[in-house]
This record gives sequence, structure tokens and C-alpha cells, in this order.
Amino acid sequence: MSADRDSMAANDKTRRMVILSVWAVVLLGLPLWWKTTRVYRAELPYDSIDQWNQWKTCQPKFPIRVNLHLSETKQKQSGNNPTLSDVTQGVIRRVQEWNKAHDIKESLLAVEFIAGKPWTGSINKDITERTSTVPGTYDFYISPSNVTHASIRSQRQGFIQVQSWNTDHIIDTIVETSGAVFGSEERIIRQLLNANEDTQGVRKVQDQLKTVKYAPGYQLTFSLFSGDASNGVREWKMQEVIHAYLAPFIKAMSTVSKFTIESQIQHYASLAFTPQLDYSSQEYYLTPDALPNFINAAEWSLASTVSSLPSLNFLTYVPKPSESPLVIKTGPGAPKSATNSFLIPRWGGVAILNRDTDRTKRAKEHPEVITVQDLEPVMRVFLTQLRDLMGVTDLSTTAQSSSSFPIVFHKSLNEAPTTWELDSLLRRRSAENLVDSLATISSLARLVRDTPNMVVLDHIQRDVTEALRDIGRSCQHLSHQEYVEALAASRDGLVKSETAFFDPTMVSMLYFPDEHKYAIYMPLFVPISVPLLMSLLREVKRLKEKKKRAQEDKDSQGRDDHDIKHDKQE
Amino acid sequence: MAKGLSSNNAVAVFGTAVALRLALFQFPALASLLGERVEISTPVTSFKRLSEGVFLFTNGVPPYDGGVVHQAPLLLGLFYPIISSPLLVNLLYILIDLAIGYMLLQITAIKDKDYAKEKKITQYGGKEEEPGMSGLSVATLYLFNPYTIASCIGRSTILYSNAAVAAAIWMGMKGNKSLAMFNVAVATYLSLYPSMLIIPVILMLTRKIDDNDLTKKVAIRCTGLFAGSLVALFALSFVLVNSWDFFGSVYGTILTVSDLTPNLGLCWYFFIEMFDQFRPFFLVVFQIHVFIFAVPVSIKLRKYPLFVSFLLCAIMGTFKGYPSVGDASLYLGLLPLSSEIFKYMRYSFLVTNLFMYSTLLAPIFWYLWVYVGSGNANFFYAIGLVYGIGEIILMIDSTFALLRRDFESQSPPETTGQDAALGWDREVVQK
Repeated sequence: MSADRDSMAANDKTRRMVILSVWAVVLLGLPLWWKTTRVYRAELPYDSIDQWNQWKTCQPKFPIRVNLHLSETKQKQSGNNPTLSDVTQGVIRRVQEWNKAHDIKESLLAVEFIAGKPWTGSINKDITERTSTVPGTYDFYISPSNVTHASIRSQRQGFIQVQSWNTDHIIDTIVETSGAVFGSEERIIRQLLNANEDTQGVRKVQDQLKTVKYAPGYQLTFSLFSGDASNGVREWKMQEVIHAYLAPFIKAMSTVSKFTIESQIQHYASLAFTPQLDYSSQEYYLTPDALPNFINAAEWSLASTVSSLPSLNFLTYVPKPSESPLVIKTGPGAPKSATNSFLIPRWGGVAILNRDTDRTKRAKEHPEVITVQDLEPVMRVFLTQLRDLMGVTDLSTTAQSSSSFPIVFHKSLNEAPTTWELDSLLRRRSAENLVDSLATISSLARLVRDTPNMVVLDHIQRDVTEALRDIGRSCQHLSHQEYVEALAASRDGLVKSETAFFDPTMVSMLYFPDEHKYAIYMPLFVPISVPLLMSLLREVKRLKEKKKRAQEDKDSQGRDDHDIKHDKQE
Repeated sequence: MAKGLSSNNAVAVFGTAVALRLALFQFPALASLLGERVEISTPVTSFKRLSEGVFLFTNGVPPYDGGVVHQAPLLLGLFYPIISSPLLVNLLYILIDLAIGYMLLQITAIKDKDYAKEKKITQYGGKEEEPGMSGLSVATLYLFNPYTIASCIGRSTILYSNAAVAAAIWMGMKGNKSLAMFNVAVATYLSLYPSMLIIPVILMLTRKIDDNDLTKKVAIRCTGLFAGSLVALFALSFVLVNSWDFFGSVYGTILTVSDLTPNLGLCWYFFIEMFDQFRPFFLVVFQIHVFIFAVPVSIKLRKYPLFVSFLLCAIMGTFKGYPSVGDASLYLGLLPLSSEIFKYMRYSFLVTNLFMYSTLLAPIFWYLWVYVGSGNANFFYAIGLVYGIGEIILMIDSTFALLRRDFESQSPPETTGQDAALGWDREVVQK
């Protein structure tokens, strides 16, 4: 009897130890559970993001300095000579009045007029060499003339000639000229900065939709697609054409973006559809509706393998003889497109190059070569398209309509952006980058706030903080009229904000409802926990019973004293 | 006469084992084929990776920088002088394999001596229980196990860890504390998981001590010896490769299961599919799961340390991150040490079939998935699951058998009289 009881007690002890040892490990595992499944959330700087969204931290301003230079020549002849200081004061006052009238508290393009030096009134070498090299600082030279007329020269200079040499007229002319030059830009930037998040979708003005997203570098791909071998195209002189026509543009743009260029020829590039034939003119034509299908994305290999820069494609399409000449027009008999080309917003441009079907008319020596002469019109089209894609606005088109006197904008060689256009581009791109990176950061902040399950790692926090710092830096540079630095800083901010937003660690938990957690825990832990809990409960029950029995035993004389003591020890 | 016969037999068995391995090593294509099999060499035991590590080491490049080598530095040191000679490498593998066989033989001898002192179980019909397998049979079962041979020819480095485990058990049975603990430390050093074998080995060392206090003292001393040996091995490794990088590369890889090359185990597929967010949590769960059994099993079966070491080896071989057939060869080698429980096992047929099934189908499904492409990863993983089920049933069944036998020995059946007629259920079990 006693021996049996001993072994029973030993058995009980063993069982209790086993259960205890398993539960000890389970309990040890609990803190690990907490530690390993904790949703790590680094605190994002919500307050400063909110402040930035209302431009409270720093209101971007785009200071512009215009030095006014009055011609000395007439001053001696007439008694009522306008003085430089009068003109300057007058211009400043007029601008303030205009702002007040239009309920604008502070001009974004803070045009500051400064009295410059008097000059002789003739455009000579002395003047043209004294050009401003600082983006945002310009010189206006004012002189009397027979007709009122302004000419904006490429090197940050404007020559204004006025009909009647009196202060008011000079002031009017200057204000109108500067309005023509900076007005549209001011409007665009105002739209950009004031658009709040709700209107983001529609904030872009028409021509901005064409513009590609800003990047510090682009890859330009010039492709020649030949419809058929029988059109006799074997080679094109693209390299020469690029050197001749594209180089000035790229050089001028280098302060904003860098470009890498590649070219390719693909033969037997057939269209995905058959163009219609206009019997009256014996031309094949594409209607504007068909243009979206022009790119045969399935068969034409257009993806660049060389770099990770955003790429812009420029396609020259030489139709096969059975489909040429190929023109773009709205229908049979309608006038055809003069450039025979079209632009695909944010993607690139396409130009159709019809070759003379008559071989004898082509260059005698190399009939299979597309020569520089052949390519020149195409390249001109591409340059215009590239300007549009890059967001270089042609000042002449926006300004001409609003002014009461002719304003001539000088262009530089081969469509390269002028300094005026480039400065404007710097300002607009900076503003765009600021707005875009802030929009990215605030969507990120909103997303994080709305998704409590989302892990926010330290590097996200770091990226966001750094992006905000870059934005602040950019804003400071802008207010100091350091446009190149401002663009660089705003670009850094944009890159960092997007890195944070598109970080893979964030995306994985974007959608993770609580029900998923049950699916994760249940299959493993329910089967494990059932025997664990059951054994624990059974053991507790057994202990209770034992106590009860021990009590009974004690009541009935306490015969097995020794055993009870033994039990209590445990 | 009998002794002479048995030694002749031993020579024959070991000689055949050597000849078989030497013959198989004659086909280098076979060795490299087996060495490439995911079932045989895992990222932490691959001979190819070891050679790479030795090559880097020889050329003065830190071997653990590239993230390829996950073997312990002292293994690199061991192979450094002989790697250029395939014959020496092969001979080393054969020698280690034979040594394990020899140690199993010795362990059986010690166990038989213990067994002779025990009270015999009287079976139904008044018969005494027959002794278990002879040492030579145990060694033969190990040496001619296809898993052992494949693992040896495939030159998986799990062999060294297995040898250390076998040596630790032998020394534990023999009562040599320092060598036993040193060998547990070596096994831990080589593949980490055998650290839990410290418990059964201490049980072996203390199995003849009745005094509770003395047992505790011995256990503490053993733990000290273990820790000391381990620290010494680490220090030696540091001297060899002159950096602590090996910690992350060897043990980090084992613990975090960072190399998800498919293998026979249960982890790789799971961690490929797991949400990143929960990966650390389940990693902890899986690793704890391997170790959670060590203490309760040792408490429950403390009278049978040999069986505990078998069971822990089987648990390791089933649930570790990078199991291979080399792990199976170890615990299948240790199982016959408790051969007296075989007659109580109920699912031997099922387990044998599951092992054969998975062994045959694993290469086929692998081929279908990786080469032909007509299957996918699920095919191979399913075979891994079948293999795992086989291992788990083996563990459950053998534990049941052991407890059954334990029960028999504690409450022997009535062999005569009226009650004997009630012993029908035992009859069934005992055939």
C-alpha cells in the first residue's frame, strides 16, 4: 500500500514537473511574442508637415531683380526729362497698386525694380557684354524711339524703346513689359502653390500635362522605325544631326537636367493597323483618333536597357512603300498636318518621314541613307517637342496677346532655351518639386495615421525629416534668389520623400486587417494550446482533489502523516 | 570461440562498410551528385561551401565575408591541410563514419552491462525478456543505413557533428565527465542544436549515483565543463580566423534560417510564404519549439538517458531549420540502442513506408519542380511534410513503446492463476 502510494506520488511529481517546465518556456516566450510582433512606429513629424502644407514654415518666394537703365541721350534736349529715380519709384508704386487692385497681398514673383546706370542709348558691345549671369537678375535698357517696342534679348536683357519720352509712358511700358514677361509664370506658380490637396488632380494647367516629371537626368532615345525593307532605308545620319541640332539645347539645359542619348534602327516595324487611303490625293492618312494606337507597343522594342533614368522616346517612322506617303489629317480632303508629327504627353514624340518613292530623286551616292538634310525638319519638330516635354515655355506665345505694343523675344540657336526661359524653368521646376514632395509627404503622413498596423521604421522617419529639411533649404535658397541651388535642394527633397513613400517595408502592411491575425495565429496555436490548457486544468483539479482527500485523511485520524507532509513540501 | 567469431564478424562488417564506401567514392560523379542534393547537403553542411570557405581561408580572404560559408571555423582548419587531396578527404569521412559505428558498438556493450544488473521483466507465459540487439547489429544498422551512406558519400559535414554526439553519449555511458562534456560542446559548436544533449548526457553520468546532493554537484560541474569547453572552442576559432564574424555566419544562419534553400525540413517554405511582419515571431516560435522538449522529455524519461538522447536527436532532425538525411542517420543509428522496445512498437510498418515513400519521391518531385517545371514547390514541400510525419510518428511510437515497457517492468503481469487470463491485452502487444 505505502509503496504504491510512493510511486504514485513520484508519478505526480514527474507530471507536475513536466507541465511546469513546458509552461515555463511558454511564459518565457510571451515577452518574445510581444517584442517580435510589435508594430514598430517611428514618430513622423506630423506638426511640421501640417505647417508646411499651409506654407507656414516658409513661404516660397521667387525674387527677381530688374535693373532699369535709362538712356541719357534725350535728357539734355527736353526740359521735362524723366529721371531714373522717378521712373523706378513710379514702377514700384504701380506694381503695388496693381497688386492691391487684384487683392494679392504678396507677389510670389517678387519683382524688385532697381535703378541702374544710365546708358548711351545705343546697343553696342559694351552693353551686350555687361550681361547678368545670375539667374533672376535682369537688365532693362530704356531709350526713346519712333514707336513703342520692346525686344527681349536672350542674355537676360530687355531693350525697351518708347515713343514719347515722359515718365508716365515709360512707367506704363515697363510695367506692361514686365507683366508680359513674368505674368504667365506668376500665374502658373500661384496655381501650383495654392492648390491644396483636394484640387491636386486638376491643378495642372493644360501645357503642364505634357511636361514630364522632373528628374535630374533623362534618357533620350531616338529610334528609326522602318516599315519595310523595300523602302530602302539602311542608315541614318542621326549622330551628326544630334551634334548639329540637339547639342545647344542640351548644353543650355545642363543646369536643370542632364541627358544621355541613344539611337536605334528597327526594320520591319509594321503598324498595328492599316492606314486609310485618300483617293483624291493618293495619300495614306491617319486620323487624330488613330494616333493613340500608332505605337505598336507589343512589337516595337522601346524600353531602354541602358539606364534607370526616365526615358523620352522620339520616333521617326518611315512607312513602307505600299503605305506611303503617310500623312496625318482629319479625313479625306482635309488639310494635312504641316509637321506630319505628333507629341505623346510625358512620353515623347513621333514624326513620320515620307521618303520619295522614286529612287532616282534621292541622293545619288547613297540612296539608302537618310541624310542630314532629310532629318532636319524632323529634328526641328523633335526639338519643339522636347521643349514642351521639358516644360520650357515659349514666352513669345504667352506674352504677345496681352500687350499693346510689339514685344520681340529673341531666340537662341536651334531652339535652345534662352536664359529667360531657363530661369523661368528653374523657378517653376523648384515650385513643382516643392509641391510634389510636400504632397507625397503629407499623403504618407495621412496613410500612416490612418493605418495603425503599418510599420514605420526609423529610416522612413529619417527620410521624411531629411526631405522636410531639404524642402526648407530649397525655400531658403529661393528667397535668396539662388535658383540653381534651390532646384538641387528641392530635387533632393522630392527623391527622399518618394523613397520614403515607396519603401517596400511600408507597402507590405498597407492592407492588413485584424482578421488576418487570427488566420496567422489560429492554425498553430489553437492545437498547441488545447493540450497545454487541458493538462494545466486537470493538474489543478487533481491538486484540489488531493487536498480534499488529505483533509479527509486527517479527519480520519491522520494516519499517513508522513505522506501529507511530503505532499505539502511540493 | 564465440568471442573470436564475433570479432571476425566485426572485421567483416567494418571491412565491408569501408569497401562499400571506397567503391562508391570511386565514382566522383556520384559523390558530387549526392553532394548537390538538397536532401543530403544543406546550406550549413554542404561540402561545396566548406571547400569555398577553405579556399578563401587559404587565400587570406575572410571566409565569412561573402555569406556563402556557414560552417564552423575549426572545420575549415581541419580541412585546410587535406582539402587538396580528395583521397585524404574521403578517407577522413570514411574513418569518421566507422568511428561512429564503433562507438555505437561500445555504447551497446556498456548498456548490456547495465542491463544485466537490472531486474528482468517477466513476460506472459513466465518467460524472461530477451536482451536487445548485439552491438554489432547496432553498428551494422548504422553503417549500412542508406541515409548514412548517402550522407557520407555526399560529404555532408553533419557527419562531424554526429560523431561528436555519438562520442558524447559513449563517454557519458562510460562515465568520463570531461570528455563527455567536451564532445557535447564540440557538437554544439558544430551545429548548435546538440546543446540540449547536455541533459541526457548528465543523466548518463549520474545514473549510478543515488545521492541527490552529489548528483547536483556533478551536474553543476558538468555544466561548467561544457561552458568551459565551448568557450575554449570559440577562442580557438577566433585565433584561427581572427574575427568574430563566424558567430553571425554560423549560428546566425542556423537560428534565423536566413538561407531558404529548399530542404527536407518544415521551415523553408513556411518562411518564404510568411508575412514579413510575422517572420521574427514565428522564427522565435519555431526555435523555441525545437528546444521546448528537452526538459520535459528528460524529466519524464530520466531512467532512460539513451532513449532521451535518441528522442532529442530525432526532434532536432525533424524541427531544425536545415535538416538532412544525415540527421536521420544519427537518430536511426541511436534508436537500436533501445532495441528492447521494438516489440512494443505499433507503427513500424507505417514509419518504414513513410520513410521509403519520401526518400523515393523527394528526388522525383524535386526534378519535376526544378528541372521539368511541371510541378511546383508544393510538390517537394509535401514530400518534406510526409517525411516529417514519418519522423514524428516514429518518435511518438517509440516513446509509447518505451513507456509501455516501463509499465510492464513496474507492474509485471500475473503469469499464473486466474488473473493470467486477463492479460490478453498484453499478449496482443507482445505478439
